[in-house]
Amino acid sequence: MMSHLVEVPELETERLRLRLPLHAEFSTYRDLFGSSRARFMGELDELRAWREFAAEIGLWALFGYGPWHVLRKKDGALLGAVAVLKHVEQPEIELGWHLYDGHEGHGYITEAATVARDWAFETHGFKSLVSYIDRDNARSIAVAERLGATEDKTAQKVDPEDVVYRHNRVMQ
Amino acid sequence: MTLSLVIPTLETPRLILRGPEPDDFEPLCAFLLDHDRSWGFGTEKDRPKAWRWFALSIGHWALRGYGYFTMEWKETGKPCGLTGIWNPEGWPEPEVGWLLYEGFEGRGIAFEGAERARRWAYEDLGMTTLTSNIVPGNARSVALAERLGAQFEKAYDNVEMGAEHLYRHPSPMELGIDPNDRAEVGV
Amino acid sequence: MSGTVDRPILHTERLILRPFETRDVEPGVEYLITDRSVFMGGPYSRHDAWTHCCHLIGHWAVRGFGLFVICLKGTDEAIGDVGPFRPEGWPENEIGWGLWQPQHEGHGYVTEAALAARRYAFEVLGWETAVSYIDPDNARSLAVAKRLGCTLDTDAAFPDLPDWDGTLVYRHPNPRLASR
Repeated sequence: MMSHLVEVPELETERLRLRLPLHAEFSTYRDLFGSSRARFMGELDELRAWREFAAEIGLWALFGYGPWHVLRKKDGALLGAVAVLKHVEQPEIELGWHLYDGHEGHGYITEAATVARDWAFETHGFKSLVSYIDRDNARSIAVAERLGATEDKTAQKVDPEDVVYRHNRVMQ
Repeated sequence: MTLSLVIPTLETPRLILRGPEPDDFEPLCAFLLDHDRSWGFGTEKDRPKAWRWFALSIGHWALRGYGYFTMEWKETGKPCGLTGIWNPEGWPEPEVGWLLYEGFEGRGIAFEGAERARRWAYEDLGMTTLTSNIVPGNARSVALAERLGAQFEKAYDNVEMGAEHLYRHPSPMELGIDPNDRAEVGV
Repeated sequence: MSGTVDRPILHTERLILRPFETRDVEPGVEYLITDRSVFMGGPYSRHDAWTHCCHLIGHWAVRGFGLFVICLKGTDEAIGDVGPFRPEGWPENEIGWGLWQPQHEGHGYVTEAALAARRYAFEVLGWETAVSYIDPDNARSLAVAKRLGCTLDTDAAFPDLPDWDGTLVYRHPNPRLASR
């Protein structure tokens, strides 16, 4: 009997805990994903969202990085997600994030993305990470800038509507 | 926290059915991108999309506790296809699926693998029924499904594949499989 | 059931049940030292909690069966335990259960797990009957027992142990006799 056990590191900040997303949390992911993509067929939303959710989790087994769900330590509330990702169409390693409804304005994503980014640099030795952000997403751009990332106009994009922010590893 | 993929290794006379590994991607990608081969299974239009499917197939094991095995040809130790139980969100029911890589058709390999996967699903997962979704016109798959004892049940619209024919497999009892009468499984 | 005869693994819709193993001692201890374990004789000292968890592992070795830990599908962390239990001194076979952390309450996990574990006990272990010993103040467990179709058996004995007076004995229906 073979069991693939993949240690998914738990990361911690002052207010937050980052850990593997659970299937029980898929509905929260789907609700955000569906609404933000604004697809025509609700059924297709669910299927596509599940495939994305499953595919990202699969990355942990394949590469040893992937998505975390972000929980508030105080009450265990599910706030959002951060992820270190590489899908083949992305030319570089991505640092991504999303916030679930009702948790804006507290700096949670900046706090979570900071620890995830530092973990990726330290554990995997990446020299830089990129974030692909819709050019109209002011909030995410603000997060990227708070993380110290700068826009890289020469970087290869995934979506033409994206801007690419680069996080460079700062050697201590 | 530990991501746990509970994936057994199964055996047939000519095959090892095992969990997906990173090196399985290349032959799988070649298959998925080749429309002539993969139209019945689900063609992917480019390498990145094939990659996403591969990652999804691994996530499927985590989330469902079952999924697609890589079929390894014992003689060479190389992958010759996939077979397993597939049930992403949006599917009507879990299905037995299969695909073969180039050069392995016409030798009963898909039958051997799919039958083993189905038996595992009935014996070990305790499933009491299984289906196979077949794209209309896929005569090869129909022949295999029928050889496995499955029968056409209905046409329906699959969220991902469009028009499909749902075939229902014989029940465990009809196949003489008693879930309680089980020898040690796994390799 | 998958796995092997010695190390069975049960699959439910949302859960994986696997035998209690050494890596489950830590979360088991963390639960037993809290007030949440009051209906199981807790809260325990760390030492007694550790001994209890070792017992659960040893039970598998001696009996060939025992409590499974409950894991959310796709993870390996035990969030509770469930299953066939018959230590020395038990008058009959028991199906036991416990959920270890409050955030996992209210999702139906125990019922889902207990159904699978009970089916395993009756169908694979060949049990003819089984009971669950429940503290009369344990409303949660009483609710689970009812959902599982158990009935109060006032004639049945329970283990002769200190502080067990008043324990209720609920008898499980045999799934082989029930309609599917």
